[in-house]
Amino acid sequence: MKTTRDIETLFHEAEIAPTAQRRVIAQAIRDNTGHPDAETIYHLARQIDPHLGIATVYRTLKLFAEKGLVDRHDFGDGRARYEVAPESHHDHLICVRCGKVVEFARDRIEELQLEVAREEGFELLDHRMELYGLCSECRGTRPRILTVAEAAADGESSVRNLAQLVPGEAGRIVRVGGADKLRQRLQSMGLVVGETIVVERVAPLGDPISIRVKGTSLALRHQEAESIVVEVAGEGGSGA
Amino acid sequence: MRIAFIGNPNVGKSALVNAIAGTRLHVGNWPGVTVEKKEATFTFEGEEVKLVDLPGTYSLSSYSIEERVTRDYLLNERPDVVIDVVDATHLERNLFLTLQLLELGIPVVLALNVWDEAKERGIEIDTEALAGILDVAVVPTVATSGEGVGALLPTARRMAAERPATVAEYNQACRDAAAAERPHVAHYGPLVDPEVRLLGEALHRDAAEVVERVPCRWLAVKLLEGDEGTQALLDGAATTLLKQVGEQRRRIEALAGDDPATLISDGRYGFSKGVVAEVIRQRPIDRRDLTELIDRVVLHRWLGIPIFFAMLWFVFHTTFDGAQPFVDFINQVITGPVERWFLVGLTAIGAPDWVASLVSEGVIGGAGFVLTFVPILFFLYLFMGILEGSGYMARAAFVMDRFFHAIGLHGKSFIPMILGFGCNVPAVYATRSLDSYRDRVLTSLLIPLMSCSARLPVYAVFVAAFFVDQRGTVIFSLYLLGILLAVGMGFIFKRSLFRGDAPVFVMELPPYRFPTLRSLMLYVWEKLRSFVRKAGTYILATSVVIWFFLNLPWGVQNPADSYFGKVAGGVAPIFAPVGFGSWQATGALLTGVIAKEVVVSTMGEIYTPEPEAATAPPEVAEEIAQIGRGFVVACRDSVVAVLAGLHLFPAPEQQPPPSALAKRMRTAFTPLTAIAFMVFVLTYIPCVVTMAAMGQELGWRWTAFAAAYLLTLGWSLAFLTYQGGRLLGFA
Ligand SMILES: Nc1nc2c(ncn2[C@@H]2O[C@H](COP(=O)(O)OP(=O)(O)OP(=O)(O)O)[C@@H](O)[C@H]2O)c(=O)[nH]1
Ligand SMILES: [Mg+2]
Repeated sequence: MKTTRDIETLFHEAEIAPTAQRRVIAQAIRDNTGHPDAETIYHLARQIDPHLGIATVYRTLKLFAEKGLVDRHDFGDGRARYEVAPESHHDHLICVRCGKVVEFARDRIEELQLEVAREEGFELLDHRMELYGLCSECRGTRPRILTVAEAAADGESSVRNLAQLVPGEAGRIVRVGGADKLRQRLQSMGLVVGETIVVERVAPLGDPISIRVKGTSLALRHQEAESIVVEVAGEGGSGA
Repeated sequence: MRIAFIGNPNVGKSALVNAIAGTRLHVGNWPGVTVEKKEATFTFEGEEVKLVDLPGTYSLSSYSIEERVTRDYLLNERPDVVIDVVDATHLERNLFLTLQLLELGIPVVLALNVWDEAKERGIEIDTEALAGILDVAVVPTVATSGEGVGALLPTARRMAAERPATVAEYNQACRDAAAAERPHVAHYGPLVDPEVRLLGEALHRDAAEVVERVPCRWLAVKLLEGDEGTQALLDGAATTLLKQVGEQRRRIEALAGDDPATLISDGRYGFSKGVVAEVIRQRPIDRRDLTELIDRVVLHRWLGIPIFFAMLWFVFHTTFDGAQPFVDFINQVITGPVERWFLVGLTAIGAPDWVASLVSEGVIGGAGFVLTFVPILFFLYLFMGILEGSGYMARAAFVMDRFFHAIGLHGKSFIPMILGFGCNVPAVYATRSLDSYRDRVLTSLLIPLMSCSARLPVYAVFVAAFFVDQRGTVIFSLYLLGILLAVGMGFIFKRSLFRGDAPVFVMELPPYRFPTLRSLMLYVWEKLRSFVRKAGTYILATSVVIWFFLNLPWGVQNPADSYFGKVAGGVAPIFAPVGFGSWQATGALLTGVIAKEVVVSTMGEIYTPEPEAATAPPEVAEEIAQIGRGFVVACRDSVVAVLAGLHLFPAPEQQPPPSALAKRMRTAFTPLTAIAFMVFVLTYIPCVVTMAAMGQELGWRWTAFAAAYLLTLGWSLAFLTYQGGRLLGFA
């Protein structure tokens, strides 16, 4: 339920001086169909004005929220989400895995809420309702690829473990497994999901191997490399 | 004001402290150089400042001892400011630790070190933006040249004054601030953040005393990560809270299908990526640079291992050949003019004869003799310095890892062992960079087999007497024997005492760097200074004590009848089967437990050369001129010997005449017993200081075990060498 009011009206109603930067940010929020967080807004706004800094975005959002131009939601993910203040009230369904927000409005719920408030002797000023769970898309899927075997079962032929790559090959990490201690050590050294790694070379005696990740060379053994699942991207060099 | 230097391994923390405070902390181009807290106090603009250099760490977790050292310092001592040293060429990875530091609420100054290399690679960092986003101060620095370093302390002081933050204040600030409005604290996503807050409240309620000391948000995040070391911080409230933590972790895991620690580190990297995208103006070009070129050769599939051994051979060969002329030169100076001047001086002040004898036999023959080996150590440490500073150290670990895997260790254990070639004591401490106690014990047990520099003088004496022609080869073989023994013993220990999993091996390979001449000279100077100090203190003291025991009961004619001779003679039969059962050899070995150099100083005293026919002492001026000429000749000979050793051109025919000591040695030992003796010196107890270090690091039981096994091993090997040699027909 997106507002269609134009930005000038919004600024006017909220009594905010319409500077160029503020317009860009307001437009970014309005054009987004969801409930973007500050970082998303920042990236959207930068597409319009590449010189915008993140600090400005935070400052402006704070001002907008104070003046009531936008609503600030806290869906419990520690990031504030923003939407242009709607003219009519609605509630939210929030997916805890992907962060998707679905708006809904049901008159019966609103009525029930009023009833409860009345019974307790409450005078209602405002209210918010947020329901948390898994969205329809996240419900059916496995969260992440767990092992190479599972990937193979899913028919993902490009998934291997790091130990299977040969020097020069590159891959994107899809899973870091292994015992807690090892996994946390690997993660703290930059081996995290989404990162691209290139196998540089194999030691003279066949083990360990050296890989390049986040601009550093790391040495690790096949045994450890086996707990890292990657999606093969192709020949190295491009991975850097 | 207390300032702590924190950062990933090998980013230049120690180098920075050195640049600021003029200290000489150990700097090396491999991860894990600093293993314990080092402090430097000095006055800065009228204020006393204490700089604390800490071991490098990738995360504020608690896996290896050095990581714990760093974390415990931050939690228990809470410094006024943290200088977070980051490698500007690897900003994203380094910020992972920075974000954890920020959660402690201590004012942070970000030192963007290695700025020179960043510039070289075309990396431009917007320091103002970085400071703004993270809410810290940012100072670009180059620790090696001192560029930018001057700004660190004033900035640190300003930060300490501007944001004094006790734990309580910081906790309150965290509770007040809507987390969303604080862009500088990383977020961990919709599943973790509410749990962090929930746990934070529970901590405030049930563990109020703990959060008085430990910042609440940091504690909550670490507990959710499942960090074991953090759980110990909870003391009394542990049981109920840990139950809650367990439930929360399960909840996160069930919903996300991933463990909380992964989500949390994803959150941190997500944030770091965002920050880097924001502040780095030009993406670094990951070009194949010098490091890649060198690695292509030294880590080559077929050449890697030959290169490694060739390098060792070169180092020991050159050390010996290059140093020997200087050793001879210093020997001549000390036993010649210096001794004469002393004796003349003593006569002039009317000292009794026995004092003169003490000086010439005990002080000069003993401790003075040890000093003649300074040139050997100079060369050895020069090469060690190049090895450490260049970045090859980590490569050696990489190449040798497979060997070490076979004995249940990993290549990282090889670094303490290489350090052991210099001195076993720091090598034992260096095992702190290994992850588990098991690794540390096993590695420490093997370190004494690495032939330390104190054993070199012993080899030098024997080589000079028996193997002049093949000195480099003999010495190299001894070093090699040490390594092989370590591998063999490791194999045995793994099968008997240390069954169980082989440890995890993940190690960063730093880029190659040219060690600066200054740092190299400082390194050599530091080591030589401590060697000379050792010679001047307890080697000297031991020499004097031994002299007395050699001359007691007073006026004893035959040294074999002295107390020393009696005691050594009593022990000597043990060594008869291994070929050196004389009281002299035994005595030298006994005293050698104090320090291996003492073997040499004692031999110097026992095998005192017969006084040569006195020649008229030359004029002092003439003598000084002679010393000068001797030095020039030594320089020339050194160059010639090194080149000849490398077979670049044929060795000069004539050998220098053997020294008086060498002649005496030839009557007391045969080449075979000389080898058996050197093998024993290689293997038996390194020295009391090493044993003390092991006691401190591993406990006394392991230390006693080490002493026992080394003695047994040494004796058995010497036995095999001697008896085997005899069977083969060597005399
Ligand atoms: N080019 C360049 N090299 C540097 C700089 N700072 C330090 N180095 C080099 O980086 C290497 C590591 O320096 P250290 O001071 O030992 O690093 P550290 O952070 O104390 O390392 P650990 O004690 O192992 O955690 C050494 O070879 C230094 O010479 C710098 O600003 N520029
Ligand atoms: Mg250091």
